[in-house]
Amino acid sequence: MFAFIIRRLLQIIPVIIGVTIATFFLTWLIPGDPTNVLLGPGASEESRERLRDSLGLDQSLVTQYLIYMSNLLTGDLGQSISFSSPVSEVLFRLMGNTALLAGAAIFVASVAGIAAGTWAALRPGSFRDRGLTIVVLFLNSMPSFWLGLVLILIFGLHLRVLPVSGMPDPQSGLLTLLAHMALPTITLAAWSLAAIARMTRSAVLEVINNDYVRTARSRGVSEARIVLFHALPNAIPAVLTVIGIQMGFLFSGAVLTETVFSWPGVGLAMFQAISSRDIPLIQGGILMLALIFVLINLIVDVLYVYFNPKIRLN
Amino acid sequence: MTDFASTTEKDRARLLPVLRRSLGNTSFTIGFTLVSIVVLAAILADFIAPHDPNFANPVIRYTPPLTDGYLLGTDELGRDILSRLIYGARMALVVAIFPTIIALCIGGLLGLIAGYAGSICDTVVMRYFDIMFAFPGILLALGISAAIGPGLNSMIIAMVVVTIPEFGRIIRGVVLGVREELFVEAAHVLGYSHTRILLRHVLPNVLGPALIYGTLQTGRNVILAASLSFLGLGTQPPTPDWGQMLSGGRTALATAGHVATIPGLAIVFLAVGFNLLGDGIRDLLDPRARRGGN
Amino acid sequence: MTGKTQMTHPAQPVEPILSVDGLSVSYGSARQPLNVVKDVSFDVAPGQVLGIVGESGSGKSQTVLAVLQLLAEGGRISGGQVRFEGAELQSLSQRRMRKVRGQGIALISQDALSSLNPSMKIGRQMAEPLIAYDGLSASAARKRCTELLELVGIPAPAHRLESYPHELSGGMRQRVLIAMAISRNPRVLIADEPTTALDVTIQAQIINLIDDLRKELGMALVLITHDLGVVAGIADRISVMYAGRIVETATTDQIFAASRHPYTRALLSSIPKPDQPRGERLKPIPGLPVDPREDVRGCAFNPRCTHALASCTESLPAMIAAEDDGQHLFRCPVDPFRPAEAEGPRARLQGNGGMS
Repeated sequence: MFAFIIRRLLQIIPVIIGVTIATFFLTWLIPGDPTNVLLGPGASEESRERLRDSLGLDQSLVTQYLIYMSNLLTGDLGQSISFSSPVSEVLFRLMGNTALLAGAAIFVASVAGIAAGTWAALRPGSFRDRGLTIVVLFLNSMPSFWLGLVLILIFGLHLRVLPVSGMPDPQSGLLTLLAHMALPTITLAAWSLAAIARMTRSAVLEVINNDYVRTARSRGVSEARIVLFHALPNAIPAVLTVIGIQMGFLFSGAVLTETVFSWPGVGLAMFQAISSRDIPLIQGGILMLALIFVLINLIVDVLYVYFNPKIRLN
Repeated sequence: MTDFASTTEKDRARLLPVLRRSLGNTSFTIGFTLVSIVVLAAILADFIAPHDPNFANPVIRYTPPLTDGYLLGTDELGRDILSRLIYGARMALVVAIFPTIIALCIGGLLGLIAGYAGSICDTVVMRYFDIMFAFPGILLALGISAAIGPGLNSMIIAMVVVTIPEFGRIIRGVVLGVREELFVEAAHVLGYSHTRILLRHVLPNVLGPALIYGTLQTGRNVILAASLSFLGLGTQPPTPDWGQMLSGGRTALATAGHVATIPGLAIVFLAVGFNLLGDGIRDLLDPRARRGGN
Repeated sequence: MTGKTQMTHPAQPVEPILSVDGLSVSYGSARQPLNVVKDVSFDVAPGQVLGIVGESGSGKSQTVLAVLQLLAEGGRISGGQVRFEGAELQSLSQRRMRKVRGQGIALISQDALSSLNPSMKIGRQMAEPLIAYDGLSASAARKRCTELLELVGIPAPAHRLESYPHELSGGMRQRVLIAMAISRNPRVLIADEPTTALDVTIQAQIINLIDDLRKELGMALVLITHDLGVVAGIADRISVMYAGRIVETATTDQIFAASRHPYTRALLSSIPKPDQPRGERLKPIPGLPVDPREDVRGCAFNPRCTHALASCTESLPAMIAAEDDGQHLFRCPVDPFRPAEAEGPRARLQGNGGMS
């Protein structure tokens, strides 16, 4: 187990380097003189020259990358134009809010998705099973920001039961915070919920036809116990993989959801950065979210092995 | 094999059961219908749209739906939403289908090379894919689009870059499977050229998955494109575009909810269409993968 | 083959504990059903051993699943009934049927590896129904499971409770499965090919273990196998199945001494005998086992039968009693004791026999 974790950690190093190369190339994609964009339109020729020098823009791509990389390792992600402060500072300040939202969403999506998928798998081909298939289809075919707008329209503007925008300050209490989180969480969770429900359904269906389920049945074990103690534990590894992937997507899906609900997280900052062409912030945000994605996948792999005693013990 | 005259008849005889089987598949039929409606709207836009999609009349802005002459109401500039929806179908189809085709070609080629040539080619291509998979799709598309500068071209480039690895991995998997099968080995022994093996044996096996995943990806692209548009990275005004119409309606959500909700329905309509079509094609081409089975 | 010759059977045995009457099992739609079990009947009395013998695909396992009301999705009992201790199982509620499973009738299935939950420790799997339904405390259940493992001959049983199935050997797993089956003191034990996945040396041990446990615990036993040799030593009666039907049923002695159905005789001649002269080849049964999807007209065995008459391809032969006591029944119009008649129109097909 320990050796597996070490091996897996070593494996992600090239991926992380690749990710930094990819984000590095984003600057290279900027048409014309990148300093125009990187410093904003009002910058003096002198400061441009300084930036050109520090990025090594007149030197080879390799040197430029090495400079970028050494800056990264010291935590320097550049200067955000729209926030007028270092990118790393902005990201770390907002990350918590995004993580809060993503965490709530993956929790909702996992619980509801596993429950719905299991529930449908118990009666394959039944009315409820078809119903779930249709709901999954629609959730998968729905832009999350549109769902968010519809939820705002219904719950915020029409029924007036839930707040639709922003994040309350910490003094206003947990209940207010949860109320503010409700709609963005549902919006963010919708897509993942569909994926998790679909995977749970097929994983449970696959497991429930296994011989050992029949063994349990032949000993008089009830259907409820069979699902809970025999089918689900063996279906969980497959579901876990999807949850992990979805969790990574949730962090990036936050860009849209946070924009719709003005939730002060990394996503909203990135949206604002688009309109102000704040490339360093976008670059930093992408790098950070991609690293989180890689890290979550690593954790999922480890958990996957943990839940498979057969692999774990060999 | 046989003479010319009978070939067409034979083809017709072969086509009919295929057609009947296809129409017997609910997913395929519904998906095909939904997509066809959008395609027809896009083609016939000039004839069926009741108004000029870009004609702004601020006097009648935010007209509610079902008003006389404006079936779906008007938007923030007083433009007819139905007309913009119909013309927007063009852009919606272009940004969904076009990147899919390009990505399928490039990704498919990379997958073919990786799967067929193996060894170093495979390692290099797969490492590249691994890195691309480390990015959640929308994020990378957002970065590329933002760096190049907003617009249709940069959006398409971004979407292509993001979807190449998806196709590459799928095609590589298929090629690996085919390569292992006996007939390719036999073909090698018989001394056939690589071109011939690729064309005669590998390609036909790749077409099915390419069609299935291409259609499903097109459905996803509908949403990806709408998302980029919504973030302000897509086509620039005044070209009618569903994602952009939706974000335009955001500001007036409280007073005129229809401006934002209606384009969203159109996006869902088209995405559901492609998703069902893809599912249907998969059911038809690979009955083993049918849902409900195990 | 010991201990069985002195067993005599009265014409009417004691009240059967498990009684299957005219059981049919079908899959698929009602319009195009796939009939896998056709009109199967048998009785098992307390303490009795019934062997059901047939090739794979002959419907043995489906019969077992139908008895336990555990047919897979799409399968249904399309005719007949199953009675356990007088109660008709099909009419029982889910709850009452669950009490029958495990406590009334227990199953030992064939592939022990796939029949054990891979992610659950042996002890937990064994103890589950004991704690959940039989009111045992965790420690009492643990004690009971240790005893059970000891009973089935597993060394260091307390230690084994902490193992996962894949950590045990095949024979060990089969023993665990047996221990699980008897854990709730069932009155009928059904063993479905309990030895197919095992080495020959272990096969005999397992069969003997099952038979010993049956005697010790006073259970009835239904032993399902494709191998007549396996049931020879322990079964009181044997029913031979072919293509979903019972083609011959008799006491074990009658089957081995005077079987009447060509299929049974073919099975018998494919068993290696210790007194068989070296070099004499075992006779394989000509042709392929029947595909359950095709409905052969008449007797299902007729395409492979070397004695088939013209009538065999037209109508299903009726069950005939070989003797007046009604103990020995078979489904064949040809009396193999008169070989002259056996030279039927299909005799020339014998040449196909060499294909296996």
